[in-house]
Amino acid sequence: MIPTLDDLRARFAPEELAEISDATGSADGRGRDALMWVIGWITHVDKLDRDRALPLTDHSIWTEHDLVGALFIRDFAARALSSLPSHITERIAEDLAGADERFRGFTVDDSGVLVTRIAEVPTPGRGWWWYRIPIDGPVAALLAEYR
Amino acid sequence: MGFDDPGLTLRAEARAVLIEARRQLVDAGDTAARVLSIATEPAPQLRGFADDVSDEAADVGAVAGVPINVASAGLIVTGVGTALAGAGLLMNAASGDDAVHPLRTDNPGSSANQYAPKDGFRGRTEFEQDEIEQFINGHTGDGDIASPRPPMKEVNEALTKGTVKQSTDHDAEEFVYGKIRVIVNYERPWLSTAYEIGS
Repeated sequence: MIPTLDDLRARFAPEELAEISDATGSADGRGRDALMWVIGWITHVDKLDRDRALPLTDHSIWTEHDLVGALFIRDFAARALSSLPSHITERIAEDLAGADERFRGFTVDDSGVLVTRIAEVPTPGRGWWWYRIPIDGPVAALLAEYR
Repeated sequence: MGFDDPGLTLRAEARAVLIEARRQLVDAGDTAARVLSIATEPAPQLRGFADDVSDEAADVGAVAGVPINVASAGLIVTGVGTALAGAGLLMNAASGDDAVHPLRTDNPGSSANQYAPKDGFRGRTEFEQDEIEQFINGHTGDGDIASPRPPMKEVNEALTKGTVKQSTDHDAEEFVYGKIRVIVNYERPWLSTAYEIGS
């Protein structure tokens, strides 16, 4: 069962939520906070996993660019969480770890060269999630077209 | 664009389905044309049906004392007559009111990736910019707060004001405005998408 943003927010007191809202993880000024990035990662992993059963002709499938978008969201989540105290992060650690484990479950090790080229970012020194690609499904097929 | 028109989305999606169906028809037509081309290439000079018939007729004729040429000609004429009768039925069916015509593959734009007029967004797709934006919005979660993708307003800004770069790998363009990257997929516009760029 995937938690909702309200599920995560309900675990915190108002003063803790105020602290969380300051942890944006991104300098874009769009008001995203750590909980939004975590929920975003969870929902993106869920979608990427479910898409594996769909053919390339399905209009709802996500592409290699959506995978890149998901990986950036994981970056923002990591950065936002790193600025929060442990008594806050430990209450969402299990949710994040669950999504990470699920992502590892349908991906395999990769050099990261292709995905970072698509993302137009440097390859070395990134989070482990940049060095994993789906083992099958539409994104795997679309990535194979580059090779 | 601030107004979210659900009818626009439905129309764009319906056109997308139509385009995909048209693409598949073209692909099927091209495949059929290739198969027909191969099937109608001049046959190699091997022994065929007529040779076998002639041999059998010769055997029968020899046994029964009938001249070989007459016997084999009778068998062959019967076969040709049957074939012509069948051809006549086919011609009648093909010229009737319910005739089915094979898809032409010699029309301009009928080859793969050029199956439709491209007078829409940037002259590279038949979809207009607002339809592309609707595709992206639907693709990235309709602005759902739990799906932290760029909302339609930011997609519109990127498409309108962003710097444009042609994809080196696909029939697609990338639009970057601030931290927002929009990918417009001209081959399959419904797979166009957008995300926030990290570092």
